[in-house]
Amino acid sequence: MPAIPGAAQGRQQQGSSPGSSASTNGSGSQSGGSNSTLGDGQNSVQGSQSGSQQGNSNQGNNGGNSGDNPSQNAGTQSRFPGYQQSGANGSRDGSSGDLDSGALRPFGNGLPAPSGDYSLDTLPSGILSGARSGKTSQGTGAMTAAERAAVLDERLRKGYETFDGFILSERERAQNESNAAGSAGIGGASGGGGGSPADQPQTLEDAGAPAGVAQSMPTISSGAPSSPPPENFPPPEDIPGGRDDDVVARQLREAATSEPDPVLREALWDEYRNYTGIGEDQ
Amino acid sequence: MRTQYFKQFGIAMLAMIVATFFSACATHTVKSTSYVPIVSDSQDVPEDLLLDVGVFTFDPGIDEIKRNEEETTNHEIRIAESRYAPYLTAETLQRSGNWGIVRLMPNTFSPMDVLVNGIILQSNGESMSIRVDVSDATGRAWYTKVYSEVISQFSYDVTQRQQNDPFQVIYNNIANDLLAYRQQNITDAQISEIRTISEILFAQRFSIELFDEYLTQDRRGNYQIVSLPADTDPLLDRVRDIRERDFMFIDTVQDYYATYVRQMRVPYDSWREQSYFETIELREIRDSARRRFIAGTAAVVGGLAAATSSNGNYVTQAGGAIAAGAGAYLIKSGFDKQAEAKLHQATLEELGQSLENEIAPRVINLEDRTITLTGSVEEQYGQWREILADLYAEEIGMVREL
Repeated sequence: MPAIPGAAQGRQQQGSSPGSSASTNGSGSQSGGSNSTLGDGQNSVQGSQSGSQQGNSNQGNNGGNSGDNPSQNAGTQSRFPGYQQSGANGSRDGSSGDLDSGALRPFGNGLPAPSGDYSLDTLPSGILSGARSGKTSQGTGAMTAAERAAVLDERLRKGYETFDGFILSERERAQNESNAAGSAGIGGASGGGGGSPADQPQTLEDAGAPAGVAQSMPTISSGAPSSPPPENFPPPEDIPGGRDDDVVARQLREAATSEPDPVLREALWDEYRNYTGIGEDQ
Repeated sequence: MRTQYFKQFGIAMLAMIVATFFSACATHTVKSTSYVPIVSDSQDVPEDLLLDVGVFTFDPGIDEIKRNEEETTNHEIRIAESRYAPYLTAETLQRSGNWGIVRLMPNTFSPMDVLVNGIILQSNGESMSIRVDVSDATGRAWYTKVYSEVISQFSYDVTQRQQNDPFQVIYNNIANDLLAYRQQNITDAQISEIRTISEILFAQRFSIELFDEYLTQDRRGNYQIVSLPADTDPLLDRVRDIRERDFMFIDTVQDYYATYVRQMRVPYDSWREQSYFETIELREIRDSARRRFIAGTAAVVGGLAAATSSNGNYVTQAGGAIAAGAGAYLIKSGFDKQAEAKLHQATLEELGQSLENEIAPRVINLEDRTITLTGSVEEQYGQWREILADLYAEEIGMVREL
């Protein structure tokens, strides 16, 4: 299990045996979040539901995420009911959430001005063609507030789809890399800490997101440039482990294992043999 | 007169005995071979009373390095460890089953119920010391504690390594202390409060205007709940949907860290094992050199005193000369030991440099990927913030239309 056991699994039910991964424990209760299905990045269903999901989960299985429900990955749940259960201060009228009265309180103290910098014109055509508050939309006149809210909700939903597809593909790739790293030792296939294009995270654009959001989202450039580490070559069969090497022998070994030229590499190993007396022993 | 001779001869002999005693003394370090298992809560805690834990990247503790350790402490390795150790901490906490979701946090933007910060005070393969600070979403400080462990060679045995990190006991102790604190100091009502506050703090991240009124800060800066939004509020539902995506993002970063830890484990363990032996050798040789200097100096001073005594006879003066000679030899051997210590120090530096070459690119790659992903996600969040603000405006409009 490459990731933190259970970290991507949702809430782990108390009582699950320590030392075992919660990810495959059927008794582990997971609270679902949104019920979007994101295997293809297209079928996200907006909305949130809380509750436990019983049964086996294959979360965290290698490469098995693409069809997983992201809410299981996220493992979040509604928080406020838990607060109500406490019975402490903060108990709330079911209709309002106000601590002291049953009167409905709107969020905030004022009407925030719509900022509108999210460039509706970048949305996929046909969804919201020119729909900013309905003023320029298709020349059909003003939309009602409910219609405008529906349009904005649709935009949000599309954004979720894009985001989910992007994150899931990134996760799959990261988990594959983690598995590959787990099967390689020093100088093995895992060598190469960075620098190769495959190591770089996808951007939302790369994820094939709908044009609306993805194209309007710049990605920040990479931080420090990463240089690929030197490739390592395994030592010849007659070379021992090097546990008792002194500084000079270690330097020779290091130089030999990282030397790409086979002739020079063999010369370095000869030098190593001479220095450590391997040839004499034999 | 005869008594005085014996006295002076005794001084010379005493100086030699003291010198021999000091040079033979050795310091001993207490090492732990006992394994502290992870403790699980004996009670079944309801799911809504499980706290989520966010473990942050540790401070590498560069500023805390002691003077005598500066030459043998590689800063790049410390930086690499500051990502390695918190991952193991989070992994151990998750494995304990006492908490909700435990994550290694890529940044401080995402509020979590319990926050674990740490600083690495020492790490050389033989001993490790980490100071841990724990607080919760309300801002309340839980505790600060230093965890130190000196391990034996047994911890690097292959069979042991396959099961646990050599310093796993430190992480187990952190997990056990966190559980003990929660059990003894945090009530169910407080747990609910903490969880509610962390959710509102996340909502504030997306709309400070809409969710600002629900929390206030007391004089100490701790958050308190003033009121609660309606549980059926559509905007709150949307924020929860977004939070699920935020968890997905953090989970993705966990996979980055998992890759990093896997890549680092083999060379890091190899370095720690070699560093373990070199560190012990270096310490013993340094101690030996110090003892030889002290004993040699004492023998020389005592011997010279006896040898130059005006009242001394031949025996006393001869004894003093022998003691002084022995002291001089001890001092010389002290210098030899110092030279030997320098060799071991150079070996340690060389080992550190070798590991640095191996892991520094991986650290850069980890940071690079995390920053890039965070940037992309934050960009998306910015758009969602604006949509949420407009949605709120439209929903207020709907209320007015009604």
